[in-house]
Amino acid sequence: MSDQNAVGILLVEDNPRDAELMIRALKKKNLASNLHHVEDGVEALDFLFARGKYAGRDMSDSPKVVILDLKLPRMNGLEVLNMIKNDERTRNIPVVMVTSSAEDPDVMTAYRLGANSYVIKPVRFDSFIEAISKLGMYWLKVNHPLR
Amino acid sequence: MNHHTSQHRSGRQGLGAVRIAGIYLLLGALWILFSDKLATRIANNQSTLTTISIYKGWGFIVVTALMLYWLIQRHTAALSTGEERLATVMNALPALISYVDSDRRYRFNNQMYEEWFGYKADGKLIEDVLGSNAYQKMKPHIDAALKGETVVYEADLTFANAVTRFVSATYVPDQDAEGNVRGFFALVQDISERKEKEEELRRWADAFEHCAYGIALGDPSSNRIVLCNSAFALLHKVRVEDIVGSSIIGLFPPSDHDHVRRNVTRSDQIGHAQFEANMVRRDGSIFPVQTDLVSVYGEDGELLYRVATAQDISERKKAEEEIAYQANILQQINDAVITTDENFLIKSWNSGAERMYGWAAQEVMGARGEEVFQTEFSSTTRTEALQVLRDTGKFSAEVTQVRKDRTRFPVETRTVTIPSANGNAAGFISVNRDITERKRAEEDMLESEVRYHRVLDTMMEGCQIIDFDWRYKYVNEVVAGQGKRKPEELPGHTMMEMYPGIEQTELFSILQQSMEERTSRRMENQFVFPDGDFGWFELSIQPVPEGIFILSTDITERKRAENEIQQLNEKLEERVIERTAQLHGANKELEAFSYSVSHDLRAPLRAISGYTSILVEDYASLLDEEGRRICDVITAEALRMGELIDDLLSFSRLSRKEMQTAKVDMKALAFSVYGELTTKEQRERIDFSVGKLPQAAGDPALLHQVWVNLISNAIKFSSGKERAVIELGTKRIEDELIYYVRDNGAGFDIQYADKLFGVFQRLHSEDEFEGTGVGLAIVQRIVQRHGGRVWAEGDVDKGATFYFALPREKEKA
Repeated sequence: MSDQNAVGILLVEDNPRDAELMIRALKKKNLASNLHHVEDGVEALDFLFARGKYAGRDMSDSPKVVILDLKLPRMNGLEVLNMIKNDERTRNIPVVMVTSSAEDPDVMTAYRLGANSYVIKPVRFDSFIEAISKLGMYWLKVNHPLR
Repeated sequence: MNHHTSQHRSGRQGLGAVRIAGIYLLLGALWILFSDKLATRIANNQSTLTTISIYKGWGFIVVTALMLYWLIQRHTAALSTGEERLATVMNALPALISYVDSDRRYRFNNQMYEEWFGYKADGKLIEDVLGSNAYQKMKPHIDAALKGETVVYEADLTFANAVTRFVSATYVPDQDAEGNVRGFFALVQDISERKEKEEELRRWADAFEHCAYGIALGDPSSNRIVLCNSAFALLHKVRVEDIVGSSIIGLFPPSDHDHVRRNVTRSDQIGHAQFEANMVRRDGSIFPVQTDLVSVYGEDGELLYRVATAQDISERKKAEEEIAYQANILQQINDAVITTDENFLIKSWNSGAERMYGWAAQEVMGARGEEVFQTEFSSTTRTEALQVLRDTGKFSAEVTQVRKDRTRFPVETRTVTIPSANGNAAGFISVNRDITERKRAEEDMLESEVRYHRVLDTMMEGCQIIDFDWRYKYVNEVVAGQGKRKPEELPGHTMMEMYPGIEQTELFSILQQSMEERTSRRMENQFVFPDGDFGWFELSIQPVPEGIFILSTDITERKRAENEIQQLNEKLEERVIERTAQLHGANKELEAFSYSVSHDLRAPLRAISGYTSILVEDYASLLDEEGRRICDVITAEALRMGELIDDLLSFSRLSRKEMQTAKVDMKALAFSVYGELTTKEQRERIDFSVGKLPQAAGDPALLHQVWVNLISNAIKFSSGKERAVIELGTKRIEDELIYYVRDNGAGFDIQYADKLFGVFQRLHSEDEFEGTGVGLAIVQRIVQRHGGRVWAEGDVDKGATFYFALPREKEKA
């Protein structure tokens, strides 16, 4: 928060409802001021690697955390995760995977690829709010990032 | 030594001569001194003195001459006496003694020489005296003696007079003070006689040594062997030196000692004894000997020694025993053995004959054979039989003869001629055997063989007997049919003739093994007929005295059926693999579908729930109570929908999950599930009882789920009762293990019992009892996956019992 322009959270979420609910939850805790929301994996990578429509961005200004939905159009969450964790410049950015179901066999794959957390999106709204708020608090306020 | 003594003597002699010369010198000097003084005193004139001096000189010479004569005379006499004495001694010696000078001439020889050669040898050359033949043999010894060596030798010499003598000679060289050899003394002894004695003794020793009988000489005082020959040692399998010195009685086994001592005593009394005894070797082996013992006495009647000869008579004994044994056998043999003379008069009659005919030997001895036996010939006549015996020397036949009690019986007789020196028959030996039993057995055998063939003929299986030459000895109709032949075609022919190429088949090699190793075999064989057709046969091959017996069953049809089944099985297997693959694919699809459902259905629910909450939060002032209630309903229904999705997913997961089978302690599991599902307060109002719950074999996690669902149902549906009663137990029926959970709860209408286990099927309203209706469906699915079944009994408000049956674990060996 020391740097006004620095990105706090990169939220990668295609479902606008979920995105809205998450942003609302984070705002309530004052964690959404530096949040950037993209709707698919390709855009997320463009943002992180400062290319395409983000070509002018300063790449060293990486987000404190990436909240990455597993199911995304074009390029899914695991592929995005793989790209982030396999690049020297981005591998130290914490990535939190979010998904609808604990049944997902991709949970194991996500951890193996280097995901820092894995969070289930609950159906119940208050649980959902609570989960997202805690997530934001931890990664933005508690966690001491590697710089 | 000799030399030394002579030197000593000459020294003494020299001393005597000096003394005499000294006395003479003294007397001579005194005489000259005093005689001259006396003469001058007497003589008064010169002429007288001269005369006196002349007489005095003559007188001295005379005295000196007389003295000299006396001395020489005495010495010569002494010398000749010594020489004579020496000659006498030398001539008396029974040996030739001579002295030979370095020119090899005799300088001296004693009288024996004259006796031997007839003349004196003195001054003659050795070679001339003895002849060149003898001289040549002696020459090397003479040469040696003349070189100063003392020579001793023995030789047989043939002298000039053609007489041969065996001599022992000693040559001692004679050396002067400087060591030059002047000649030598020769001492020659005639030892011809001694040599002859030695030779004789040697021949005796040879005879003793080479005698085939063992000979031993015993010392009667020590009773030990002092001498024995090799043959004797050989009897005992030791060396001569090993047996000499050993105790005589020790050569015999203790059991024979008394016998041997008696014979020794007898020999000492009468001079000799002859007896048989056993001897024992050092290795303990015992052998019989024939012994001749001689006691030898000296002239003064003293027992000098005992001489024994011993001969191993093992072979003889064995032969004697063999003869006795054979004679005994002949007596004991069951056959009648009868000998007759050339006129068929009975000469011997063994005990077999006594038993067989009932006549004692003495009753028939000398009787005429044909009168005793009254033989009847079946296939020939007596005359012909005698003719055969005369022509070939033997005759054998089956005949009938008569016993003493007049009964007739069948006899197998074999008679041979005992040839005499002139070629005619000296007699006959007959060996007769009672063949009553054999005849009967033969008849029985014939009968049983007929019976046995009849059985084989009518058997359903093929039967054949193959002899050692691979010929069909017997075939029944069935086997002929199996081999596509007529039964009469096969017997007498070989397998190779009937089925060419059969030697190359595996079947044949197995038959061969059975034939050679005499072992039985079983096999299934595909037999290819000459026409290319084939059939399957189950064969049992058994060695029999004639060769091998083969029992064969046509299993062509069975094989065909087996093949079909196998092919069907293979096809089925393929199909199963195919289906399994398909199922696998379907499962994968289903899995993908499930995830998609879980993601895609939940998102809208979150939205509904979330936005409703926003509505309530942000627009609370615009909503009245009814509006807020509606919002709560929306939220609750969204949550319920979420649960339905979860249950549906977990239900579908059950069919995909891999089962892990283990032994499960059902009792412990039920208790722990009950504990998990209830709070302390709940447990206080529930009577929970558990009967016998035996172990089950199954997936522990899945069985856990079964108990969770059933027990939670029981708790849920009995929650309306004042006191809930929940009872767990088992029933054991045959191969199933039936577990049940009984409650006293709401129960159900039995007519809907079949709907209980359907997915999302509920018999109670959501208001009464919450739930999605998946729990029992899950129970059913799990139990079915374990190969079991589920059912329920119940009545409205009277409780329900839910059963699940698991197949009993297979009894372990």
